[in-house]
Amino acid sequence: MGWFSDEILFYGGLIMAGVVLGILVIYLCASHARLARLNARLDAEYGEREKAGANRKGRN
Amino acid sequence: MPGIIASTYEILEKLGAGGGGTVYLANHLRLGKKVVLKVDKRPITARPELLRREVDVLKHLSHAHIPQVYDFFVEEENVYTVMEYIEGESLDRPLKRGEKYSQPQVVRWAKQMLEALSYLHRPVHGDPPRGYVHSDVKPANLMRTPDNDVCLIDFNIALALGEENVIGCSVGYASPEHYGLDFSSDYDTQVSGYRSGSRLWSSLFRSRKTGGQTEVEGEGEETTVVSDEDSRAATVKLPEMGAGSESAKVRTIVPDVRSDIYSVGATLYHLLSGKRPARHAKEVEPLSEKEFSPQIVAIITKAMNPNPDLRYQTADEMLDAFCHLHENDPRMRRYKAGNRAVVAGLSLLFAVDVAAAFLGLKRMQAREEYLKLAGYSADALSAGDGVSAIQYAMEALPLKKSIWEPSPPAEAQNALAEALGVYDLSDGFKRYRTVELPSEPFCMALAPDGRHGCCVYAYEMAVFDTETAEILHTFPAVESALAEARFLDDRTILYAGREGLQAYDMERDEVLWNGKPATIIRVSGDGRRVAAVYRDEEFATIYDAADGEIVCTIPFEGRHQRVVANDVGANPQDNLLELNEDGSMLGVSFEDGSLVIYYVDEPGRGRTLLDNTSGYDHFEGGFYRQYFAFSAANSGNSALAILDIANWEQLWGFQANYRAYSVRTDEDGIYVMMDNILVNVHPVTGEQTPLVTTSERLCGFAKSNTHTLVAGEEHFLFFDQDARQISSYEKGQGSSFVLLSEETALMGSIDSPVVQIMRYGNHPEAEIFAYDASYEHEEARRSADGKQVMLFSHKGFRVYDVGGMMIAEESIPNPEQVYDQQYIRDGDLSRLEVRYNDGTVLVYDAGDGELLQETSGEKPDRSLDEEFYTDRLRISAPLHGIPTAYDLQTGKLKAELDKEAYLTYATQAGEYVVVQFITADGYYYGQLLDEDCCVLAELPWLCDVIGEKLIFDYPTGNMRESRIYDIGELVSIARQALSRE
Repeated sequence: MGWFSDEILFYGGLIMAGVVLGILVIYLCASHARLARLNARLDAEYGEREKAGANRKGRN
Repeated sequence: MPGIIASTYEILEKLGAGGGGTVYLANHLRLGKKVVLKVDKRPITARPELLRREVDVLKHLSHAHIPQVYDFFVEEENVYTVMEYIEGESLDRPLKRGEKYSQPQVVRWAKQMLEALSYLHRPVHGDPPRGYVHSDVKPANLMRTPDNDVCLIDFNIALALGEENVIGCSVGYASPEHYGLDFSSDYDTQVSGYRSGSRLWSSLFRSRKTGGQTEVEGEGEETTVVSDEDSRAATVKLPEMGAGSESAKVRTIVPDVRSDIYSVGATLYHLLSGKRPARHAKEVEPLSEKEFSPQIVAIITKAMNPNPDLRYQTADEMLDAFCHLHENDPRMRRYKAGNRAVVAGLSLLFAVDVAAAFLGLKRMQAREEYLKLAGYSADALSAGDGVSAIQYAMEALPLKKSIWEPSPPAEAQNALAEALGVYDLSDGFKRYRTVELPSEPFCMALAPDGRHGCCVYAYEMAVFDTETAEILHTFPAVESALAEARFLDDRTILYAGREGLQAYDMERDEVLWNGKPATIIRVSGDGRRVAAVYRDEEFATIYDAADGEIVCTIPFEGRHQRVVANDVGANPQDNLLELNEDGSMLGVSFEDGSLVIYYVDEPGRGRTLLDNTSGYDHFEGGFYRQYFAFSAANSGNSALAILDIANWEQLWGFQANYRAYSVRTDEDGIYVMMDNILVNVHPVTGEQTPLVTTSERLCGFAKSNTHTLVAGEEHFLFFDQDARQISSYEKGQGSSFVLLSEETALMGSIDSPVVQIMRYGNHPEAEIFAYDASYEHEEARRSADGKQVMLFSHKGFRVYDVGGMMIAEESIPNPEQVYDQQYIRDGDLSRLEVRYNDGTVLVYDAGDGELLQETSGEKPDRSLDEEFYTDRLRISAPLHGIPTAYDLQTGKLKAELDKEAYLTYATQAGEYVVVQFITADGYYYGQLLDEDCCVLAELPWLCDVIGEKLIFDYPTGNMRESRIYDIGELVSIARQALSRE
């Protein structure tokens, strides 16, 4: 690898890392929306999820 | 039923009745609170005190979805259980009306049911602690409260009390165990029986031959309660189970929490589908996964597994399944799995990219470091420190190959090759080492044998070894910039010590003798007498060099030499003080512009050459045999004169209207330096023999028997005794001092504390041919068979055999019309082709110089660039332009080559390319290139490439040969060189 390759490795790596990071952020946003829709659908099927111990009103 | 029970409870209404008893709504008379009163007709066999204790424990059961037990008592043989009144409707009633519940609603109730069961099942109740099994979970036993929660009622208290003969068993909701069916993993799915302990259960399906207990088919809503007082085995026929007429033995099976699990599953089944499950677990029709969520179906199916070992083993397990419906949903799993995969993949990619960038950065930084070190190496070499140059170059070459270390840059290999000088096979002075003084020198001297040098600086005199560049000794010197030091011989130094003139013997390491204070010191040609003057004293002292005895004192008659007002920091070297060969005469210049030659043996007697009206303020010169040569100058003009002092006759004189002359003498002659030339002037004939001719203005010179060293404005130049320049080095600093012995040269400056040492080296081992260097030629070639050498130019050529015998010498006709010459090796034959502007081509045999043929052809096209081809390159060499290399395959630009000279040849040599250039001055050289056209080495005076051999033709008339060194070989050579240090 000559100097040319090292430059490509460095700058290319930085650029690709930035691109991947951007893709990851976009994906996470889209995934979050998908998850919300899925949760809504599951809530419709199974009922809303309750907090832990919400049904346990007893004293024990 | 009486209206008041136990004087406490007022019966309000009957709520229901079943196999276990009747249930009433009652009013607690004292608390004014509605309660449920359950009357159980079954006998209680427990002892009263145990009963009481258990009741007390049961009263402490407390859960949001289990009605609280308030009391338990027996009256008139009836067992009464007082429980919390749960307002609402049992879930079976809407089912009977044909209503169905939504799945989310059922899930919610399932969790509540299971939480209640989990509480009940927990082995924390009672004394000793144990868990309770409900044993009759069904929609009818689930009360729906106004809050739309459920409450699990009709808890089988008797069972909790440990009664052995009671069991709840609702058809469709009861587990197979309730029927005595054991589908567990260790048994066949048949009723099997054995007697174990005192508990005995019996099937519900047929009338038993035991007495007196109710048996119900189980299709209805009521819970059947079965007991069997007969502990003996009963015979049961189970046609539904496919047992045929075979009798099955009754097996003792204890309903446990898994039975409740089954009942919960069956209850949920009914709530969801609106249909009661089949009586037999194996006949239960699975719920539709199209109508209900597959996960729910799976949970219910598992809960209703005939094999209790395959059901949920605890209510918590089943509750957990319901609580994690979202998480365990296949869609959610797929989403999470996909999400994880994508995030993991992108994260991995990100990490890889960051790692790649980091790697690239590290490699770039490493490469920068290598380039810096290569630069340091070149700087050290320019400064004259060859050892440091090698060390820096080695640091620029990584020891180990790793991914973090890029390949060493070509600059590093180039620097190492330069530092080692492997491709410089010329005979001459080469940069060797440097000596760093504590401060800038005022004066330097070199021993005649070149092994030692000395310098005077403020205010010491240092002696150093020119081999090791090590300072051996230092001595205090007089505090004046005029202080000097001289070598009396190879081992004795005279210097202006602080206590006076001192003679120091290096070998004995002792001072031989001391004299009076002195600054300027001169030695006679024979080394027997020493003349010394101290600053502006008006006399000179003559010493016997052997013992320091004062021979005499020469008075200056009230005059003194030129001394600056402050001589502490500068020595303008304007004074002349010289002894002749035998020390009998002393030439002295004075500040008043006079110049006198004194007779040493006759103090007071002298001869004035210039009087005090001369107006000169700078003098140089000395004695040569019976002659005295001097130059005198001021800012406006100068004069040069040579006198025969035997006759006191001026032989030659020159004048110039600027400071033109610099004169020096030694035992071999009179030397005059003017502008850019140095000549030896014959005192008698005045003939000037050129010693040096350069293009630079000369600043100083030094001479040995075989060489001349001059300092130009930009270069140090070495010349042989035929006035041929043999080497040139860039000056890294000023050059106030240049000193030369046969094998050592010293260069120093009043502006730098660094003294450069150069050593003479030669390479006879590489010699392939020697010839008369005076023959002018442009190129030199060795024949294909290696037997002849041709030196040629456009004017003519000579052919030699390798022994040095000239075979032929020819002139080329019309040399001014020659367009180009090519030396061609063709197999074992070699020829010289001379191409003319008119297209004529002459071909000469390179072996004997014979003209082989003369042809006419097309006129050469001067507009075309010359092109060279190697294995991977096409190199274009325009006549006026920069030679450029292109990739042979792709045509892409690879690199621009050296633009300071004209490209003459490009040759593939193994894996390298060797390009050859010629400058306008006629200097030819080569460069060793790698596949990227980076310069790996400079090849000065390269004239030819044969295979992987490099042929050098030096101006000294030597042709030498070298192989190409790869990086490993260079490193090995460097290590050997450094190990010698």
